[in-house]
Amino acid sequence: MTSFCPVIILAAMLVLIPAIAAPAPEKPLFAEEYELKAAYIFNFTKFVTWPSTAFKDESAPIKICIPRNRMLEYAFSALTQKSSQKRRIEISGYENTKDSGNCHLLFFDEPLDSSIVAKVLMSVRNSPILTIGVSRDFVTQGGIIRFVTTDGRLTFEINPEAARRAGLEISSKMLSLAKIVRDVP
Amino acid sequence: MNFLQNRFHNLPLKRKLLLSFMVTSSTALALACIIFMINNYLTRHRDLLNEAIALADTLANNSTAAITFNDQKAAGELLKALKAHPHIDMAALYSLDGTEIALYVRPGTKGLPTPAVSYHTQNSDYKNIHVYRPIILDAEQIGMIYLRYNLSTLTSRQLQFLLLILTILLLESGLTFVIASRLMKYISEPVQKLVSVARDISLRQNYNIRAEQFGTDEIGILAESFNVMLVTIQERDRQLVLHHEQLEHQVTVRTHELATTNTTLKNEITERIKAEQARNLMEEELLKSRKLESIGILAGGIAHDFNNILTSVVGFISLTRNQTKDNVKIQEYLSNAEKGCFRAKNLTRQLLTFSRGGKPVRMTTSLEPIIQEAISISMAGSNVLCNLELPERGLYQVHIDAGQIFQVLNNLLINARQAMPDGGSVTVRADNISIGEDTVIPISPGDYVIVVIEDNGNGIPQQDIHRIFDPYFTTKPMGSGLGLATSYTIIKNHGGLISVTSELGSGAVFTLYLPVARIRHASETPVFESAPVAKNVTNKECKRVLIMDDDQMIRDLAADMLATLGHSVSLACDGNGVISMYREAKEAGEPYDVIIMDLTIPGGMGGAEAISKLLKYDNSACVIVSSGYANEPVMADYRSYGFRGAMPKPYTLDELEALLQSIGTL
Repeated sequence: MTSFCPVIILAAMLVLIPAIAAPAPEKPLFAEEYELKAAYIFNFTKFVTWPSTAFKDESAPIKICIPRNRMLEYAFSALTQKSSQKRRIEISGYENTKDSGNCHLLFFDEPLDSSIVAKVLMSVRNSPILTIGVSRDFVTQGGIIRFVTTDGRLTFEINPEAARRAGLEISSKMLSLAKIVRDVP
Repeated sequence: MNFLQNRFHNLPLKRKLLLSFMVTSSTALALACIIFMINNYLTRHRDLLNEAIALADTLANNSTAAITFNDQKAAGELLKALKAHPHIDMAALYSLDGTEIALYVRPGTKGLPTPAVSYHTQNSDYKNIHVYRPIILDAEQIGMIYLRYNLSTLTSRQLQFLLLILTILLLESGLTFVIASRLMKYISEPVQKLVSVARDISLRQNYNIRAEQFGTDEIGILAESFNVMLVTIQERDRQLVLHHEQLEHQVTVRTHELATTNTTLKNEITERIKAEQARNLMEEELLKSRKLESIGILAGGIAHDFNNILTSVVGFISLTRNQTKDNVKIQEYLSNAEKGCFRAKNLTRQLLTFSRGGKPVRMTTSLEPIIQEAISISMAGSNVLCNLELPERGLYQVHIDAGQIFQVLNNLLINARQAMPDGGSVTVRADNISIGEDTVIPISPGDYVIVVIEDNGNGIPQQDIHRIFDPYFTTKPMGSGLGLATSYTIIKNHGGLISVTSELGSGAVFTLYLPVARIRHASETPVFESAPVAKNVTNKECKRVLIMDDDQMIRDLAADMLATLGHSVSLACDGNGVISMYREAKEAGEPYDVIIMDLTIPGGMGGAEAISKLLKYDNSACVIVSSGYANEPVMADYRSYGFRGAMPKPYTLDELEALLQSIGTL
C-alpha cells in the first residue's frame, strides 16, 4: 500500500490544482499595458512608506484601490499573491471615488473626468493615500504619481510635495527615476 | 650546507660574532618586515574588499529602484558615478534573470572579460577583486551587481613597502655592523688576547706569562681560571722538577752507595781470596813446621843420646890413643875411628841444629858483611859468577844470630853453585821491604830485609818443590838432606821466612825474609864467632874438677880424661850432689876450681837450676856447661846463666884440655 500512496497523492494534486484555483479571468485586450502598470504600482509600494497610523496593525494589508474595470481587475489580480513591506496586497475595486476612504493607494484610470479626479484628489489630499493617475495634469492637480509613456517606455512623474502633504515618504531611489513635478501655484 | 657550516666553524671569533649579529638582526628585521608587509597586504586587501563590498552594496541599494523599474538609463547613470572611484575598472547590474541592465567600464580599460553572473560571492586575483552582490529589495533579491576592484594601488604600495624594507635592512645592516664592531671588542679582544697568551705559552713553554683580566664576566672568569691553571701547572712542574732532582739525587746516592758496596765487596772478595791463600799457605806452613817439628824432636832425641854415646866413644878413643902413643898402627886406627866419630858428631850437630834450630844468639847487625863473606867462601874456586845487588841507602839492621844466618846463606849459595855444574851466574839481591796487612805471604806484617838468591841452573822439578825443606830429602848423590831443613828452621827461629819458586830449566829463586831490628843502630858490629873456645891459652896446672852428669859412662870418661890431663876429679850425678859436694869441699878448704855440669838431668836437678843455687852460695864458682844438645839456648847464651864456658858433647881430650886451660881467662 505504502509503495504507491505518494504517487496517487501527487497525481491527485496535479489533477485537482487547476480545479481548486480560482477561475482565472480571461485575458482581455490591452492587458499588457495594465499588467505593466500593476507591476509598477506594486513596485511603488516598495519605495513608499506610509505612516503607521495608516494601518490598523502590523499585519494589516496594503489596500490598493482600483476602478472597477474588468481589465484592471484582471491585471491587478496577480498582485494579491504578493506582499510588500511585509504586508499583503489587497485589491479593491471602487465604483466611485467616495469609496476611497480606507485605501492606501488610489489608482485613477484614464476614463475618469479630470474634474472628478481633482475633486477626489482634493478630498484625499491630506490622507496618507498614494494617488496614482495617468491624466496630463494629474500631478499638478495634487496627485502624487503619474504614469507617462515616453518613447514607448513607461515612466512616471512624482510630486514630492503632494506626497509630503499626504504624509508619505517616497524613496529617493524612486524619485531619482521619476520626473519631479511641482505644484502649480 | 655542510660547506657553509665548516666555513662558519673556521671563521675567526670576531667574524663569527659579527656574522651572528648581522644575520640575527637582519633575519629578525626582515622577518618582522615581511610579517608586517603580509599583514599590511592582508589588512589592506580585506579593507579594500570590504570597501568594494560596501560600495557594491551601496550601489545595489541605490540601484534597487532602477532595477525594479528596469530603468537602464538610470542604472547606467548610477554606474557612471563610479568614475569618482578610480579603482573600479568595471561594474555591472543584472536583473534577477541575469539580463544585463547596465555595464560600466572605466575609460581606457581594455580587454576585460564580460563577467559571468552566476557568482553570488566575491573572489580576487592578484590584480583585482571581483565582488558579486545581490540587489535586494524588501527582503527579496531583485538583481545582481558586479564590481571589479583594481588592486594596482595595493600592489604598488606593496612594492614601495618592499623598497622601504630593503632600505631599512641595508641601513640596519650598516648600523649593526658599526655597533657590533664596537661591542665585539669587549668580547673578541679579551678572547683573542687569551688565545694569544695560550699560544705563547704553548709555543715557548713559558708558564710565567699571565692572561690579562678585563672584567668579571665569563671571559674574565675564564682568564682568571686560566691563570689559576697556569699557577697550578707551574707548581706541578716545579714539584716535578723537584721530584726529578730528588730522584736523580737518590739515584746518584744509591749508585754511589752501590759502587761503594761493590768496591767493598770486591775488596772483601780479594781479601777473602788473599786470606784464603794466606790461610792455605799458613796451613801448609803449619803442617810443614809440625812435620818438621816432630821429625826434629825425634832427630833431636836420637842426636842427644847418640852424642852421649859418641862422647864416651870419642873420649875413650882419646884415652886409648893417649895410652897407645907408641903403636903407630893403633894410633892410625884410632885416628880413623876418631874421624868417623867426628863425622858422626857433625851429623848429630846438624840433626840438633835442624831439630831445635838452636836458639839463635842474636845481636843487631847488618846483613851485608855476612852476605859478602858467605858469597866469598861458597863461591871460592868455582866457575859460577855471583852478582850482589844492594840498595844504595844500605840495608836495615837485623837482629840475628850471625853464624846461623851465615850457615843458611852458605847452604843456599852452595846449592846454587851445585845446580850449575857447568857454570853460570848467581844473583844475590838484598833489599828492605815492608810487608802490609794484606800480604799473602805467611808472615807477620812489618819491615823486613829480603835476600833473594837466584840461579840460572836446572831448577827444581814441581813435584819436589814441596819437599825440599824436608829433612833427608835430597837430590844430590852426596847430600845429607839436612841443609835446607836446617836453613828453614834457622830462619823460622828468627821470625823470618824462607820460600822457593822455581821453573824447571830456568833456575830456582830462594827468598829470605828477616825481620828488621826494632832499634836499628849500627853500634854493634857484626861479630862472627867461628869458635867459642880460645885455643892459645896455656895453663897447665892441676885443677880440682867436679863433673856432673847423669850418664855413668860420661862420668867415667870425663874422670879418666881429666885424670889423664893431671886434674883431680870428683863426680856427681845431679845438681843436688854438685851443690852439697861443692859446699863440703869449700868448707873443707879445698874448693873445686871448675865444675862441668850436664845441662839436662832426667829426673834430677839440671845444670841451669844447679848453677843458680850454686852461685847463690858462691858467686865466684867457675862452672862450665856441657850438653849433647849443642844448640840448646843455654849453650848459646851460657854467660847470662852464669856459666863461664860451654862445651858441646861429644868432646875430645884436646877440647877438654883447651877448655880447662882457658878457665883462668874465662
